[in-house]
Amino acid sequence: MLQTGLDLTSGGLKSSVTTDVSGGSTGTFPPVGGLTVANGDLTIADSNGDAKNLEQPCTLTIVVAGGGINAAGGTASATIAGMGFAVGDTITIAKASIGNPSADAVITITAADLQSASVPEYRYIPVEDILYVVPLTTTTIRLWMKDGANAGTGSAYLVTFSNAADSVDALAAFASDSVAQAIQAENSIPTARFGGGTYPVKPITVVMD
Amino acid sequence: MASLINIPYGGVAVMPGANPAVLAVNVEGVYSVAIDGTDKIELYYDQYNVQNAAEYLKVVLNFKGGSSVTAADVTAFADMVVEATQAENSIPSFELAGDDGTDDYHLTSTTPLTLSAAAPV
Repeated sequence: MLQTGLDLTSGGLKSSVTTDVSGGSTGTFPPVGGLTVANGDLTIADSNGDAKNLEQPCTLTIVVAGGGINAAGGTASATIAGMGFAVGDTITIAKASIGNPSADAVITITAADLQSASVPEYRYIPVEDILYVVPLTTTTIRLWMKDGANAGTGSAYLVTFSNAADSVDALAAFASDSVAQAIQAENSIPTARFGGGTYPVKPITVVMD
Repeated sequence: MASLINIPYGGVAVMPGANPAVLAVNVEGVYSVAIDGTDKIELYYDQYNVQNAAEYLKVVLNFKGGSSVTAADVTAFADMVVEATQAENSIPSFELAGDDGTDDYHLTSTTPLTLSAAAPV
């Protein structure tokens, strides 16, 4: 199951800013890292205005220009996609986190803002010829295929996550468990599960390379 | 159906509930097992290299400890390869004979396995 959170294109959320800001400081917010729900920068609500908990947290970066976020030089970008958004959801950005303009900014999610517009919910991976899982980072693993005899330059699936797993070991071990489970399940198609500590993570892309 | 063997991997408590982790290795086609130094086990596969028919697939299991692997471990792993290919609905778990509960006897976190091409043995 793939992650279908926010589009990670730089500036991808700019056109969805439905309440722009005026006054306050200009610049990139935050200067380092990202705006998060956990830090009190963001509040997520559904289309009815009710508070909404995401399955996986997102992270945003906002650039406020002289005329606001929607003005020339301003941008709104997701840097970690999150999971659990729907069209009509709103992301309210606390004014204190973006240079203290006169009011909070609001982004209203449209279909174009979601990866589900271009990413299928599921990606099917044949597991029969997977040799083993290669741990790379807390956000990437590789599934080596058996035709990799050419000194490690054979085919492999590169699986990339937007949200980081708790550790490299945990991500690789969960992936290995999922592959083993799938190989053992001849008459069913199990859904791979990754991570399990802070929250389960879902891959954002699976590509053969 | 692919034949798998679970091998202890990474830290001793990386999974939920502070449980240890394992990596599953597909041993379908392994025809020879050998020791490499004192902390590695070599697996030779009958999968040929599509780029060069004189070369075959070789996987090296990299254990963390400096002197954790013995000849007896290699024999035990070879026996487990046979067991895994005969037991389609189970995944046997391999453990080095000297495993003392520390991660010295686990596959390393960053490079648990190394893939390469090799001449047949």
